[in-house]
Parts: sequence; C-alpha cells; structure tokens
Amino acid sequence: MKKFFVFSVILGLLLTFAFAADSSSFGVYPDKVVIGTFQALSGPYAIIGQGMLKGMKAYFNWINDQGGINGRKIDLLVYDDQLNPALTVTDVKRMVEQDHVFAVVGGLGTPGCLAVMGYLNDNGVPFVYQGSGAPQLSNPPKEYVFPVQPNYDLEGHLIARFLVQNQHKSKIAVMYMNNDIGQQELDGIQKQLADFNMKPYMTIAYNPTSADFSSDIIKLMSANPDSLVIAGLITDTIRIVTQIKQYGMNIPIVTIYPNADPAFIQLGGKAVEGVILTGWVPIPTKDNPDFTTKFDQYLKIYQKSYPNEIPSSYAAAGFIAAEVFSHALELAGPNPTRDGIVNALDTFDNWNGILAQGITFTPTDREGKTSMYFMKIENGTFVPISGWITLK
Amino acid sequence: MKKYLYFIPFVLVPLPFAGYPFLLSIFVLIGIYTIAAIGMDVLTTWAGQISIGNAAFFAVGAYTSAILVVNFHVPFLIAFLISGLFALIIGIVVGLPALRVSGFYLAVVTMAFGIAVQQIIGVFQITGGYNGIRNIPVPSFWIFKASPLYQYYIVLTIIFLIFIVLSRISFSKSGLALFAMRDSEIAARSFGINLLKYKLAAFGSSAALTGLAGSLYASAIGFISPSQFDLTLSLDLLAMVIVGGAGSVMGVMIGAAFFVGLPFLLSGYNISITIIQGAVLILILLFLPKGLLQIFKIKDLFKKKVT
Amino acid sequence: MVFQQIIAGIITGSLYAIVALGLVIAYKVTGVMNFAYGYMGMISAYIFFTCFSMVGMNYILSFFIAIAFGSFVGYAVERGLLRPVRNISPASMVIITLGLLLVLEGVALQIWGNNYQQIPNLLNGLPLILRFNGGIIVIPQQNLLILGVVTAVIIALILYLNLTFQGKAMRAVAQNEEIAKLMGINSSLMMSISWIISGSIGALAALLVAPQTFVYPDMMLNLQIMGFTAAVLGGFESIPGSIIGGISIGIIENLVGTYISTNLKTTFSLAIIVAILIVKPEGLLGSAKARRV
Repeated sequence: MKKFFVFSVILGLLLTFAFAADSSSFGVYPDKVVIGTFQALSGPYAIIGQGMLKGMKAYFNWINDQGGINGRKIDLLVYDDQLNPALTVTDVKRMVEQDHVFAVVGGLGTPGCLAVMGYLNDNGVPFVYQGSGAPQLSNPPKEYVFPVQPNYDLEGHLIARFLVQNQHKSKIAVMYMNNDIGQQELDGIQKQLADFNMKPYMTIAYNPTSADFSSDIIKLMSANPDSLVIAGLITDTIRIVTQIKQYGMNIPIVTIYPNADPAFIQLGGKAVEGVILTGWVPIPTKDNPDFTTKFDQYLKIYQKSYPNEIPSSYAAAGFIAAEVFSHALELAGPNPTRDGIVNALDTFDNWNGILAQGITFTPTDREGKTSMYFMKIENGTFVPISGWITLK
Repeated sequence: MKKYLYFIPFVLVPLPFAGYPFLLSIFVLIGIYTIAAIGMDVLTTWAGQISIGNAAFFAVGAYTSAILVVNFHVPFLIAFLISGLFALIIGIVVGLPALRVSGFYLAVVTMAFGIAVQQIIGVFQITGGYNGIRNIPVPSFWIFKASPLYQYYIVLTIIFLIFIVLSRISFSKSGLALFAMRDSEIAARSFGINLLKYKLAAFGSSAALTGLAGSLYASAIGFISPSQFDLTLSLDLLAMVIVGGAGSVMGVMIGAAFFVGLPFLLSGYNISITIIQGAVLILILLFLPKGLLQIFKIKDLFKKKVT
Repeated sequence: MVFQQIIAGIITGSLYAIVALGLVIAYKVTGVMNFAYGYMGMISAYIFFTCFSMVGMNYILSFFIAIAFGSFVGYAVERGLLRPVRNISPASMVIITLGLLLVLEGVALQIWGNNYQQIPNLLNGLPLILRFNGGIIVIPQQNLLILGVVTAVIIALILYLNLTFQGKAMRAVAQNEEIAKLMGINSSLMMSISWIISGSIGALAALLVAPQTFVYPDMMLNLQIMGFTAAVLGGFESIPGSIIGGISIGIIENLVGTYISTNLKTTFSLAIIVAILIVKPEGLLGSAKARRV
C-alpha cells in the first residue's frame, strides 16, 4: 500500500518534469515566437513529412540568421504523428495546451488536418498552411484556418478537363483511395465530366492499406479504358503503376500533385516513366526568367541548411508554408497577437514571396492557391507539358 | 474494505497536475485502456480463452457511441450504456465459434474478427468510411465542464465500479465456475458446470467492458477512424494484462500506464519505443510471471485462489 | 477474367502457403506458434536491401546472404530465446513471440529508419501471355518467378521430410518427442533444424513479396496474418493442409474482390474461413485429438 503510494507520487513527479512548460500564454516571448507543426517523420509517408520539415527549417533558419522577425526568432516545435490522425489529435492538444504555441504552421496530411481543424479554430489558434488539399479546409471559410494548397476537388476538375480537351480521351478510368483524398478527386472528376455529358468509364476504390492490386488490375485490363487517373498517395500509386506495367498494360496514367516529387521517380524507377502529374509548386523553365532568379535564391537558402542537397517538392511546400507565416508575422507588427496574424493574412492579395506565388486570402475566401500545371516524367525528370491552368 | 483504500492515491494523483490539462488527458487515456485491458483480463485470466481481436469490441463501442452522440444527439450517458450493450451482444455472437474451436484456432478466429470489423467500418457511410468520425463532443453534465480533470474522475469512478462488481463475482459461484473452466474444461464439465453459459458470459462481459472503454475513448480523443483499431491495439491489450499482472485491476492499470504513458514520456528521445516494450514483455514473462505488480508485492486483490 | 483472377489468386495464395508452411514446420516440431515470424523475414529483406542497394553486391549473392541470415535468425530465436523456456504455457509462449515481434520492429526502425525502401523485381520483362479460344491470360514474370520458387521449395521440403532419414527423424520428434528420444533421435538437433528451415522460408517469403510491398518494418504484417489463417484453415499440423489452405485463401480473396466487393475482400474471405472452422474445428486436414483430464 505504502509502496504503491510512493510509486504513484514518483510517477507523477516524473511526468511533471517531462511536461514542465512555461505557462505564459500564446507563445510570444521577448526574443522568440514558438510555433508548432505536425509531420509524418516516420511511417509510410515519412518521405513527405521529412521533406516538408526540411523546407520549413531551411526558411526559418535563414530568417533567424537575419535576427528573426521584428526582433523575435522563430522556434519551431515538431511532433511526429506518422500521418496517423489519432496521434495528430493528441499532438496538437499537447502543442496548444502544454507547449502554448502561438500558431500551428504547415501540418501534414488530410486526415490529421481535418481532425484538428475544428479544435484549432475553436481555440483561436491560427492554422496556417496544411499539407492537404481537402476542400473542407477552405469551404466553408474558418476564421483561423488558412489553406494554401489547391484543393482536390479543383484538381479533379482540371485533370478531367485536361484528359478530355487536351488528350482527347473518352474512356477514363479512375482508381481512387477510399478516403477523403480519393473521394474528393473522384467527385471533382465526375462533376467536370458531367459538364461534358460524360462519366468515368469505370471507378475502382481501394483500401488505403492495400499492397496487392492484381484483382483490380485484371478488372481494369478486361474493361480496357483509354486512360487512367490514380488518386492516391506516393506508395500505393507506385504499387499500382508498377503492377500495371508488370501486367504489360500500356495506358496513359495521370496522378495527383501530392506525388509530384523526385521521390516518386526514385521509388518507382522505370515503371513510372511517362506518368503525367499535376503540380502547383512552380518549377523554373526558360519562359519565366523572373522566377528562375527567385528559384536560385530558394536553392541558396535551402542549401545553407542542407548543403549540396536538391530540395524535394515537399521541401518546397514546407518552404512556402514558412514563407506565408513569416510574412504574416511581419505584417502583424511588433506585438503580434493571434488575431493580428489573421488580419495580416487576410490582406494577402496575389502575394509573391520567394517560392510562394500568387497567394490570396480574404475573410470570405480562403483558397490560397487555385492554379496548377501538368508535367510528365521523361527520362527520370519532370517535364512541364502545360502552362498555368485555372478553372475560371 | 481495505482493498478499496487502494483507490485513494488515484483520487489525489491529479490534483497537483490541475494546471496541466494535457498530462491529465494522458491519465484519462491510461484509465480508458485500463478498462479495456480489464475486459481482456476477464477473458484470458478468468476464462482461459485467448483473444487477439478485442480491438474490434473497442471499435464497436467507440463507433456506437460516436454515431449516437454525433448523428442522433443522444446524451452521452445513454450512448455509453448502449455501446456497452451492443458490444456485449456482438461479444456473445463472436463467442459462439469459441464453443467449437479453442486454443490457437480461437486466437486466429478472434484475429479474423478483429480485421474484418476494421475493414467493415472502413466501407460504410454511417461510420464515415476510412475518414472516420470527427469532432465528437466531450460529454458534460449540468454544471460540470468537459475538462480533463472531470474526465479523469469519471473514468476513475467507472474503474472503481468495475472493480467492485468483479470482486463480487470472483467470490461467487459463477467466479468459481469460471476458474474451474479455465483450469480444466473437462473436469469442470464433470462437476456439472455449464461450459456453454460461462464461456459466452466471459466473452460477453469481456466485449462489454472493452466496448465501454471504446465509448469513453471516442469522446476523450474526439476523433475515430478504422486505423486506430488495428491488430496492434488487440495485441497491446493482451500485452498490458501480461506486463502489469494478470488477474488484478491494479496490475492491469500498471500495464496500461506502461503502454500508454511510456511513449509520451519518451517521445522526445530518439529511442524506438517498441524495443523497450518488447524487451520488457519478454523479460517479464521470463522473470516476473505475475507482471510488474510483483515488484510492489501487492497480493492478488480479488482473485480467489482455487485450490 | 475468372481464370485470370484465379491464377492471380493462386500466386498470392502461394505466398500465403509458404508462410503457413514455415509456421507449421516450427510448430510441429517445437510446439511454438510464432507470432514474430513475418518480422523475422522482414529483417532478412533489410539485409538484402543493405547488401544489394547500399553495399552494391550482386542480386543472387545478396539473395543467398539474406536467406542464410533468415535461417540464422530462426536458429538463434529457437535456441537462445525459446528453448530455455520450453515448458511455459502456450499462451505465454505466444506472448514471448509477440514481444520478439515488437523488438524486431524496433530494431529495424533503429537501424534502417522508417522510410520505404525499394527492392527491384528480378524479372521485369514482358508478361507471359496465354491466348485460348475466347480468352487471354496474362501472367507477369515476377509472378511466374514466385510460383516457380514456391513450388520448388514445397517439393524439396516434402521430399526431404519423406525420403531422408533426417526428415523422418524430424517427423518422429513432431509426433512424440519422448519416444523419438528413446529411439536415439537427437531431438534437440531436430528442433534447431526445424527452425532453421522455418527461418529461411520466412526470409524467402519476405524477399518474394518485397518488390510489391517495399521494405519497411511492417511489410510482412498482412502476409503473416494470411499465413496464420492459411495454416489454421489447413489444420496447423499438416503440411499439405497449409498449402491447400494458402492457395484457397488466395483464390477466395480474388474472387470475392471481383464479384462481391474489393473493399471487403478480406472480410468475406475471413468469414468463409471462420465458417469452415465452425463446421470443421480441426481445420481442413487437421486431426481431432482426444483430450484427457
């Protein structure tokens, strides 16, 4: 009995030390601003989370080297949620209630972002940039939530339009991950096809944890569509593409922007050659020399933190997240408040940073970015095959 | 009466931490897993059946409660009880094959059930598919706010109630029958014990307890999706019973604290948590067959020795 | 399409079958149901990855190093961890292997990290295409390889167990250890051999499935679950049973996936298997044992 009492007290003390935190609120200190992020640093999507975190760190390191923003350095707390929403929920609670972060910046993953969106908004914590294109983030607009990436519904529209108008396809098959990402892409594709008086030739939903797609691919083969859209994430998309190639099928494949990263080529090897992807993070080409200068600046900043490393497009996403937040913090003035950040972000009007291009927020329209382009994998590199496309 | 005194430290524990809501919510989670692990304990230690599919009952409870509260605006207390009841019914149905198969076969049948439930949840609309159910409200009664401290005492009260009920059962005729069945089915049968009834009762009550825990989990975390109820959870529940000490609420609580609390404690360090968990599991089986509880030399609290 | 689906099912099923086979061999001789089985194989897949992709050895050499490592892991686990505690209850034994599973997962994380790693297919050429009146069947080369390797392993194993003295001795130990000992059979050696075989089969399964799943700590989870189910369906004590069990699960899965629901294919397959077990609790080819008080 006594021992048990001693045990509980010791356990309590241990936990107290582990979680001892300064209770001064809101994360703004005389010399620093504490913000938080959640990233998949391990697990199936670690490749995305690690890249994105590097991009964020590279930008914040650069800012802090210059003395921070309005005299305050940015202190980034990172939690690894493995893109598992149950972990995201506890991690974000911990950030807000225990670490008292000023804002959450650049959280990764549709399930996690949607799971904590309401909580952050209710608690008045600015949630700037989500590594997700879920339309629920921007629609309806929420006071404290600022999505930047284009949403999947919009992307579905653009892909369908591209396949019909540009590639003249009529038998479009869709394989989609049976969760928010896949369902919203499918939704967008169906709506756009309906405008052309068409519908998907066939649709196959797959469980996010599947690895063997042989029965789905056999179905696909016997239906014989003329093009295939895969609305899934990097690992499963590569599995599908590889298995399609193993079955000797030769079909044009389009997949979504979360896959537009060198890691896709690295992991997929020869099998992903010829796959078409959408992109929204600009890449420098000959016809936009202005952007090439900015891109060089980005490389320089990135390589200051990670020498000789070529940043992934996930790193570019993280970099943009950091840029957007830092600019808003600057605009919020010498005594930033959470509401101050919100007001500052709502003044963004087609704002251009280094990589961040054309970002707009208003209190009633929180879709940060609405334009994309198409690219194709040729000889192991991404080659743009269209200019910027918007729906309007 | 003395055994109830063991609960006093738990009433006092959260007080110094009132200002650390996150820490309290970890305590709440430990309590919730304790309830689920007691459910596992009832099945394995009391009835001698192995299950590696109890995550399914956890899911059934969590989803029943969340759907009732979110879609039908049922008060939490009622949703809580219904989720226990629903899990009970499903537990009895799952227990039926257990009357035919046993040992490893039963383990595989329960595993199959666990995986099937996870997949079924992922397919249906009402459960939110693989997206899950978001923004499950935290229950609050009258003037009590939905704070973690309040949740802590709710969970502690429920554990206390379960403790009382289990103590009663273990000294009753049914308890003796269960122990007899565990020790030798055939011998038990020869004493005229109705195995069918007791096996189903063990499965049902195990499922009900796990379902109740699931219901609490859904409202404490506020978000549920199929991936939370995987095989790992089933195995963890089994491991909690072994690590802490089978056959005792305190032991199970230690096991739950070990599996739920440790990852949070060590999250800042670059150590893979599973190495520690696995090694402890093996070491305990080899050297402390009664679990960590043995270190504290606490006697079995309610388990009557059947000699 | 039905034939095509059945063939794809046989190939997936043959992977389930060898995992079941590996589990059953170890179980028959030592009585341990090894929950860490797939994870032992996973370590070998990482060994292959290290040799082939990081060190740059050739494919075949890396392959054999990985298989050898798998048999070593099998030996070490049985000899070092399980042999000293042979007499604890079966439930505790299951939990020890569960502890081992957690340790192996953690070790892989600690050494190789959690990124998905790629192992290339050995054969990448055009698939085999069979045409017959009214139909066409396509079999990818990698699948032919899987089928060939699995068949070879099964045949070799059956020949070994039935024709060699050692194999017969092993079966004797499996049937009754005490009597086998009295007959002068070195039962300790037989136990080690059974785990060496089991470990190398596990490594082989991991290497065959790795190009499809990628290499990561949980890569074998699904295969292990289905391997267990196949073993149970087959009766857990019967080698032909586990082969039939594995292949029938593979076929059931693909047919359910085609004609009922892709998303519920595992659910339906498992339901069918549970139904079979309820009707025949000892599995398809298992034998009901008389139990004593």
